[in-house]
Amino acid sequence: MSQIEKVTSRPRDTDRKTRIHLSFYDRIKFFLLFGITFLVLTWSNLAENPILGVEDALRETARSKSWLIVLAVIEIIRQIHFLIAELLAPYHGIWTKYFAFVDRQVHRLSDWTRFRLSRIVKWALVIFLLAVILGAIYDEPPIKALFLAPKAFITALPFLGQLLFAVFFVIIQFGAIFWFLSRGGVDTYFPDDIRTRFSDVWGQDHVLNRIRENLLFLETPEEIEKHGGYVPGGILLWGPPGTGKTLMAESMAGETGKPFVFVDPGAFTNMFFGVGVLKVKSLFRKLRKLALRYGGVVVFFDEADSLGNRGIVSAGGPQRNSTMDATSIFKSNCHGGTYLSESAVSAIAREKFVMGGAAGGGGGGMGTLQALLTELSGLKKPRGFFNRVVRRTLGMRPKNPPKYRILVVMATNMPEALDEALLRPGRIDRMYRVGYPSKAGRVRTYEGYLSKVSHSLSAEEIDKIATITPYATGATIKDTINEALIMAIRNGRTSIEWSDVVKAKQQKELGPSEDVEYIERERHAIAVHEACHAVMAHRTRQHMSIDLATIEKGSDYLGMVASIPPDDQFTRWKSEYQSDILVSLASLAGERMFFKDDNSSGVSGDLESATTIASLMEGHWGMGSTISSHVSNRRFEMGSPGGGKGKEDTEKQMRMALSDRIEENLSQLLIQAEAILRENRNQILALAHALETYKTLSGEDVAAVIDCTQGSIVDGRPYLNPAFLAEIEKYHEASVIAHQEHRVPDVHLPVIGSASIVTQ
Amino acid sequence: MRSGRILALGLTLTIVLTGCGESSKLYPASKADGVFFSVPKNWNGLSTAALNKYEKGADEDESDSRQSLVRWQVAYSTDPKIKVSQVFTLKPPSSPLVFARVRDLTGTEANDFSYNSLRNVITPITQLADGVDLGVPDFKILEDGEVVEKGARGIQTIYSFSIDGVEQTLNQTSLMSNDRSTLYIFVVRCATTCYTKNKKVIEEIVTSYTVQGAK
Repeated sequence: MSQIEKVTSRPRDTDRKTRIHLSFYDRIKFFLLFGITFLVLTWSNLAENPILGVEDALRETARSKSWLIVLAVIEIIRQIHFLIAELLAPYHGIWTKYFAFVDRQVHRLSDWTRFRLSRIVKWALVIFLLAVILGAIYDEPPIKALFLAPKAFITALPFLGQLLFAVFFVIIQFGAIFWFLSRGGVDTYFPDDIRTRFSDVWGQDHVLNRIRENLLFLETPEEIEKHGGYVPGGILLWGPPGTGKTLMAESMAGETGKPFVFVDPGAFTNMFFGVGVLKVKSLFRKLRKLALRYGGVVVFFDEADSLGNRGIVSAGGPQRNSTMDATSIFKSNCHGGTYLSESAVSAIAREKFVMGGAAGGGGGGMGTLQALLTELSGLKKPRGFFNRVVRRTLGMRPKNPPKYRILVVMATNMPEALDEALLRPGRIDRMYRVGYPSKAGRVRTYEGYLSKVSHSLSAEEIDKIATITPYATGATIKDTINEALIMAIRNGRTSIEWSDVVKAKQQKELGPSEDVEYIERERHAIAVHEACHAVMAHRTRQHMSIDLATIEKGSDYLGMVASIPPDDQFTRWKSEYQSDILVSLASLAGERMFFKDDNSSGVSGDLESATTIASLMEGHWGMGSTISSHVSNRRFEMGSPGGGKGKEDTEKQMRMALSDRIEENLSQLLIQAEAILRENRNQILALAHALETYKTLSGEDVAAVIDCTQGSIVDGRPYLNPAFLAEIEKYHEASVIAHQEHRVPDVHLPVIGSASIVTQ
Repeated sequence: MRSGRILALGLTLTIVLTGCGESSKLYPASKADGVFFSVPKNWNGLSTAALNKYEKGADEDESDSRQSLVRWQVAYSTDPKIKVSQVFTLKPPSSPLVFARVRDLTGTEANDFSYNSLRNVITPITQLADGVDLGVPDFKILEDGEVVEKGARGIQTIYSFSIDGVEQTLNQTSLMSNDRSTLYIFVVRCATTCYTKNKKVIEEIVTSYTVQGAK
């Protein structure tokens, strides 16, 4: 039998036959106490009488303090009793039975009462001994000596004060520094401090309704608490910048009857470790105080992503970017992305930029976030000096903390940068996406900002501008209206007109044009390139309408065709993506067609967009010849499927890799694009001419030129004239020759209504 | 563990045994005045109250006021039947008698008091030494020296003289407190034969006399 198997578990108290052996300390502790008291008293005797010998002092003490001897004898008897009980089972048995009886009697008192009683007895004993010792020291009766002791203490206070000052001097300095450092960054607003109301937030009604619900529960928590629920304690507002999250919070502050605490995003960025923790603690101390005093409190963390994230080791970039920096795919001359829908752009961007983790811890520094997490739903521990210390000292159970009704609202445009633990229910119960405002919201917002300035826009025009600015937010709308006002003032007016708004919008979207004059042949090439996009878009794409077309060089493009969705649509279809690809490929097809199989590097961006969408269609969206998702295939490292749906040429399909299928799809679409462009040759050249003439055309005017009707600025009807079309064709031919020979074209840009056209 | 038990037992025994025994001496003391001395434990004492009472009854005029200056006085003797009256006479006692007194000095006294005044506090020693006949024959000064205590200083004189044909020896220590406000008198006396016999004990008692001064 091994050593470990011999070990049996410790017997229970009830199974023991003899008393458990006392530890050495427990045996002697009272002797020690009595002995020390005796020695102190002897010492006191010795000190009092200079001629007294040690032996006589001991005897004298024993004589005058004989009760101490009595106590010692009682203790001896007790120890002997213990010793016998430890050695003799029958003796112990009798006592166990007796004590069981006594125990039953004693346990009639509650545990707490017994605890208090025992403490009273212990304190009384300590005070008694102290009194005796002091009495010996002061040579006074013990009771009187007890009252002399405080006097001695008070006399010694100045000295103690000096000592304490020396100790606390440094601590106070540190304390003061940290106290000052942990100030600031937190503003408290009381009801009626803020005038913003829910009615001032436009276009986000669905979110507002939910927030209103939260506030309602905060105002009347009994509604939910009496049914056993609890007031939802946290809301996260997330969404693109400028969509009114902060405004919403401000309106909450205005709307609620509770204090509103606004926490600065920078509040938790500190020079020293630990200050952030102090700040969090002092913030929540304040919140609890306010919550108790006013029955509830709302706290708002703006830019909550600044609180940081524990989960990701910060390596590389400082932030993950959910807004998808898509600029680099638009570096092509043609600004390849602008005529794609927003979702297609974001899909491309997502593919292009691997979602690099790399969201640095950022924000608060060590412990700040953890402190916040703990405060948000930490232990429900008793708080307060009186509660924790005084009550406990008096032997009373500390009271549980009351229900603090704190509504935490956080706003961020980078929800993925937040710590997961922060978002769990109990901390953040509800997450609302504050997206781009609906069309109705945009109309309301335009109306709101326009009502603050003088304007001559009709209701239809406001509706129209709201339609053609699908991703406008409160912030951009405000900016657009202001830009329009600046344009009006620059033109000597004080009232905004429709043209100001359109120009302001173009200015905002495209940035100022660089006023670069292209050489003629290049201008024509760019105009043809853009015209191909525009005509293709106009002919094939129904889910997007052209917003504008331009050949004015901007900061990062030579020309562009921008499109917008005419209505809020949330799903995308295969046909739509196909038309997206057609529009992208139109530039390549068009350049080859018009420039005799030549094409510029300007199509690179278009091809990239087309390829990406085609890949996603084939591999992700189930819009190709296979069904399985490339995402899963890649995750499980299975490779792409070879098999197709068609039974006839399965073998052929199987041999094809994914890229081959994508290439084939693109080739087919390119052929299709060529066919469409060939059919619309006249329209393309007409639109190119219009672009060369006017540089920038609005969507309406593009349609007018293609359909040969009267537009808002450009009249498209002259392009019906075959003679003029022939003139344009001639100019094109000359430009192509000039392009091939790198010289100035022989024929200049035809002008509508010019004599040459009339004569011809 | 075993050594622990032995230790506990030892501690208990010390307390118990010292409790059974009594002090080897008596330690009369006035802690307030800072006066201490010891006498063998079989000696008998007379308390301040008893002595005061006797003094008040005996004297009427001048000593009445003197008596009020007394703060503490005790007397000890080996004689179990010692009487207060024996303390306050110069008749030679047959057994050693210790008398200790602490009294305040009046303002005049404090100004006048010299070492000679201290010598003369019980017997006019200076006059006797000068040969003035005061009816006490055989006057001798056996020892005379300065005594410096913590709280007082003064003179210790051992002298003898005869009354009614019996010679007695007195060991007298009289001190004045450092602030010249208090007089400490300590006398051990006995018939010379008895003094010689008990010399060792008497010297021990005198040596034990300690004046720390008032707190």
